[in-house]
Amino acid sequence: MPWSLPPPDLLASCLAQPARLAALSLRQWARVLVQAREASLLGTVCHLAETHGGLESVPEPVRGHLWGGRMAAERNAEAILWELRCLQRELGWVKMQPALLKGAAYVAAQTPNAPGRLCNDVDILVPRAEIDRAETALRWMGWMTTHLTAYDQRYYREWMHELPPMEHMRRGSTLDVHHNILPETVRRQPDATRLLAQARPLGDGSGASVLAPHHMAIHCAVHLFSDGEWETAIRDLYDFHCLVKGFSAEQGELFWDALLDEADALAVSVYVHHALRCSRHLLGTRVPGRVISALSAQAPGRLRQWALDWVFLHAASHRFTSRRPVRHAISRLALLWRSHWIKMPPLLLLRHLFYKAFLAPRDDAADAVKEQGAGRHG
Amino acid sequence: MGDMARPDQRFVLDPAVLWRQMDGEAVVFLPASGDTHRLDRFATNVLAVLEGHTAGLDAETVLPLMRHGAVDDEPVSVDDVAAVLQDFRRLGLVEQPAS
Amino acid sequence: MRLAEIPEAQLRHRLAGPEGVTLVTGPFSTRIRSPVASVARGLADLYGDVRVEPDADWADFHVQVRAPRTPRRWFRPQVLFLSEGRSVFKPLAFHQAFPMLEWGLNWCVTANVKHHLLFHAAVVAREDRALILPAPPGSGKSTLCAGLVASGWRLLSDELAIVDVEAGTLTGLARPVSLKNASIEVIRSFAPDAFVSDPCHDTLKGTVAHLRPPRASVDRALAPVRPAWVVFPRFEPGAETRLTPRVRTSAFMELARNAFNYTVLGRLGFRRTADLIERSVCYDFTYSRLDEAVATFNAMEPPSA
Repeated sequence: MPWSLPPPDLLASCLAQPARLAALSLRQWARVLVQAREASLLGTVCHLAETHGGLESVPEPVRGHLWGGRMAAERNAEAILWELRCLQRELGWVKMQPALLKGAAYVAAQTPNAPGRLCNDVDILVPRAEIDRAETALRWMGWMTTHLTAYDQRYYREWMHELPPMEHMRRGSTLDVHHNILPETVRRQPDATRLLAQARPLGDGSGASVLAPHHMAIHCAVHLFSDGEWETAIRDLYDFHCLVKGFSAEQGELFWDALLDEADALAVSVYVHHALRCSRHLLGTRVPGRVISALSAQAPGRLRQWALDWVFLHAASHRFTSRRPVRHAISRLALLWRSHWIKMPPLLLLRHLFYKAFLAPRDDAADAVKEQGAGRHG
Repeated sequence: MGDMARPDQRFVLDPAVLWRQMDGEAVVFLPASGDTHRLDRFATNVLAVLEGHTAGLDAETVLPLMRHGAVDDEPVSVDDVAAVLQDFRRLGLVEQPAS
Repeated sequence: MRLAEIPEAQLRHRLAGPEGVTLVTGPFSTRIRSPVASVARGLADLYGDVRVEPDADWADFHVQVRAPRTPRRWFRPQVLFLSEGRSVFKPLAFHQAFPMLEWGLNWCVTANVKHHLLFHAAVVAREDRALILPAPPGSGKSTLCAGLVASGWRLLSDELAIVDVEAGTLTGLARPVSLKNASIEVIRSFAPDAFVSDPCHDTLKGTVAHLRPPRASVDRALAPVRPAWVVFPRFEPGAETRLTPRVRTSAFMELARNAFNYTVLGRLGFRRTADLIERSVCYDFTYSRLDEAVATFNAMEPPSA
């Protein structure tokens, strides 16, 4: 029935219970491989297969692809660490010590979701007041701004929570410099000084830091549930699941308390509510009852909650193997609209969409790259 | 910054570096950056001398250890070796030994 | 079961259906679905000797070639190549469906495969020794490859050198050789007995036709081959045939530049590339006359290894 919620994909249920991997038939593996490829999770699945039954129990034709995914992730991690060393030097000379976000933070801090994970670019968080200084320092060190049209520049600088992505002229790597975790235009912007104040140094002598555990999980939730592009949603949910699982095992109730308190202080509890709800449904994340009930104060009304569940769960499913391609398409479109709605007040949104539809220069080359799927690893 | 070629500066080959000698020249791979470089005969000769000297060598000590005849007949000076060592440092092939 | 054993009407029917046809080319199997007649025609003409998996549980790649679902399909039809439901190229004019499938099949390997070292190169073999021809498009690599194959060399691939990351040996795909523009006529007159498909005009690469892989190459696609020669070809109108030794380090750098996943494989990529170069003799090769070129390679002795 169209109103029923879809069951988790095979990939999701394997992520939730990695022991299942050892018992998959070849036909099931074919499905998992396609879903993992789309979500950039081949390396992760390889890691899970190795730690649950061993790669030998994986059928022969699948094994190579998994091994290749892990290889790519290991090399990617090395490249990210190298990039961080370079960046450290490039920002160190102006005495700036940013906090790493997302993929780069997972790799550098070796969080539980790190083995096998791919990340394409480095995201850092600097204080709002220092963003200009950071940009200048980075430009001196060979980082160039992209998105050069006047509109795009204004879009980022006035309305977004980050600079336009920068690209290093020699190394070709990309860097996103954030000053917050939600755009300037949201109705209640989080107080990002809390994030930086509680950030933890990595302890590897590099001087770089990562967000505190509760903030890392919160940012993961905020990022996914304000985003309109859900191609790799299951990967991001798996990040969230691993972080919550790992941190709560380490810190117990202290973690849950900090998660609730900080989500409230940053005015982002509703994102954490959605993330926990989805990750419980798809990945079986264990969440104490008191956390669920504390967050339910943030929950939307029953009808809206049902609609959101329907949209999130359909959108998190895999497109090509989906048995419900139309519902899948509707939900992804709905999320795209929702993300615009969250990020911009109505008039600004109208203006933005008008510009994008009618005035923005058509960039065929960029389209082609996007079509080739090059931009799909977040 | 301040990359002056000083002949008494000691260097040690980064143990992570992979390299292969072919036809008298070498290709080197730096795992950290993922970069690959090709070295000419002279530089290859310097690299071959550095390998195995974990305490580090300076240009003065490298020069007499270089294979005779492996380099073209042109006379070689300590400065040439020092310049190669500085290039190596710039590429990340060598580091200064922890003294 | 070989593809040729499926009657053409049934082949078309299966291609158009939900299960498609799963082809096994070298180490990879690809499930192809397409309602387009020229795709069925091309497969029947060029892939007859290739093995198909009757009830495939598994495929490395899942592709579709079909018209976009837009009103345009009625007045100026186009065609899409989809890999796992995602369109990976810009749409092309409908008559280019088969060349698009060929490009797409190459894309599937280069975009997804990380467990073999991959170079952009043609590979042919004599006995179990490989001649690797790395080169950018326009170097005459495919023509040379087709000429050698028509003269009895075993075809591994006209586009992709697939190196086993453990053994350092090469594996073949034995898929059709793509011929462009003037080289179509060159091969037709050089090898009148070889089957070359009907040319497809006005593609991005000009006029394109395909040479059918010999049955012996298809059957031995998985038999490993050791590297022997790495030759960088260059077609130059009017040039004398010229084979000049190339320093191995320079060959290494050039080969690495022509790699698809050398950087992804890191140390392993470096080691296997170095092994390959060390075991080979390396040359630059300039030519304009195919018969002389083929004679040159026929006369080459493999290095002892």
